[in-house]
Amino acid sequence: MQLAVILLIASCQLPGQIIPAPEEAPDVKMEVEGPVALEPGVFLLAQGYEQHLRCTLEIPSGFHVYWSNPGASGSATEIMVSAPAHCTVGGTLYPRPDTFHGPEGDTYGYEDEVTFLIPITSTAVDVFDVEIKARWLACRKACYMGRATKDVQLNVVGHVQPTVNTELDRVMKSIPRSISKRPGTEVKLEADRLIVTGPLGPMGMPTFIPDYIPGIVFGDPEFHPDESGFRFVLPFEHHPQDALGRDPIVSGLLLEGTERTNPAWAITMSVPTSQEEEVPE
Amino acid sequence: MTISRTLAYAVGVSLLAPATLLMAQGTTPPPPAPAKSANPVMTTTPAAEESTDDEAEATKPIKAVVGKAAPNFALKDTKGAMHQLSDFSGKYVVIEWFNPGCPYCRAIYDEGVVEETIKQMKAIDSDSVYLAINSTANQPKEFVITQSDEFMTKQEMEDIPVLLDYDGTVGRMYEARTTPHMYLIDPKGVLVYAGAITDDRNFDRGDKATNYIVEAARRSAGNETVVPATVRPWGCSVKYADGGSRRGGKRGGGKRNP
Repeated sequence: MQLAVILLIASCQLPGQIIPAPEEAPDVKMEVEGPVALEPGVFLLAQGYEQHLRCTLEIPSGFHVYWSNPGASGSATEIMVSAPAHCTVGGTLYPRPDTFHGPEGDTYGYEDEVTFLIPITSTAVDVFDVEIKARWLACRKACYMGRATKDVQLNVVGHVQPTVNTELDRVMKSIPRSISKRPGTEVKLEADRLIVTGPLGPMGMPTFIPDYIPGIVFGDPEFHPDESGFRFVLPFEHHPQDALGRDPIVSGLLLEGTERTNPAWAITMSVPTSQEEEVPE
Repeated sequence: MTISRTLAYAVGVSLLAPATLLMAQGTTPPPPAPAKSANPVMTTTPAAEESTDDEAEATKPIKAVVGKAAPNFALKDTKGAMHQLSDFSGKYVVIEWFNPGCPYCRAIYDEGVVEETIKQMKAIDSDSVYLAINSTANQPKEFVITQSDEFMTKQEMEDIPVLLDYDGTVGRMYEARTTPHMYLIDPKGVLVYAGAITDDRNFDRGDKATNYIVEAARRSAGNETVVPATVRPWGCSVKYADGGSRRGGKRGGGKRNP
């Protein structure tokens, strides 16, 4: 009898006929924290100062979500904030991403856990609710869209200054800084090439990951050691017909080392346009 | 470098799919594109011989380029019927890189984007053709076939043939990166658009979303310059057979990232 059952099971699982069980959708968890917690979900803010909410995604093992530029495939993680009119919400600050190789090209994103920063400033002393929505695409063998919403309460008080927040400082180290703050480093555009020169850091030759700007197509980057340290050359083409109305900008991150807290430098350069580059209406 | 590339392509050619071999045998009618650029089969120089630049050029794999003749291909669909791009000469052809396991692919059907695209395309060219190509290879082929058919049946879109590109030959020729990744080929066989299907990857803009395929077809049919001709596609990665790998150091230490 047992043999018959085994044979029956085996006959149903001939090679090439096994239908794999669908992968479980990842249970990505989202948490929001603020400068000073009065109680869970209730935070203290100082009136008139830019402070930060921290939106953390815990990503199940093996999955990753995407940077603001997902790269060759994927979809950017988005954080959206609804707040009263007297409250100014800045653009989400994305930490330095990891790079993933795929047959379709490189993609950029985060594994394990990632914390995004949301700059927020209230001009009024007030108590109000803020709604934070996050949308992501989590991929491993398959991809899954996900979204979550959290409401937090902000208590804005006057006549105080923001306190030191070690947790914020820790996260801030993963946020790329402007290349203008890198000592001895020069960035320029020469015709259709971005050129960066500067001293080598302790982690050796940097790498680069591009931002996505419609109408800008990058060539292969080249890094060369020279007498001053390194010389990075990134050729690009400007295709105004594909710009979707956006101004031409060359931007991306110059990365040192491989860890998320290693230096990452944001580069943004406007591309001069000529009158000949008119796009058909 | 040239020699090593030549060798690599020589190895690649030996592994090409039956669909490609069909074209190599010259059993297919001429494609809409010039024969030289339409045939994805490459001639190679023996690795031991010196290659000239022209020869090296000849060994380059054929790639689809916007504004140029679309490379021909021949693929069987999930029902076993053969489809060649050249069969559709004189018609607009929309190609969607497809994987029903991808939520974005499912969403463009669930949200009616594909149905609307086909409807609008028929208004521009009543003979227009919509093809789905599935290059998914991280599942058994039988599963890919079953999943594709079940999805199209559920969506009541059985009229869209799902062409199987299990070895990824055609996907690589068109440099398909995402599902969906869309292509529009005009009646002369020219690839006039490649990229996203719309500018609404979150499906929350409704009628205000721009359908790039339809816009490209409208401009093309009106003899206007197709603008934009390339928009970065969004969606899941195409699950080619050779998978992918992670680059960069693993963050060490504790669970929380800094």
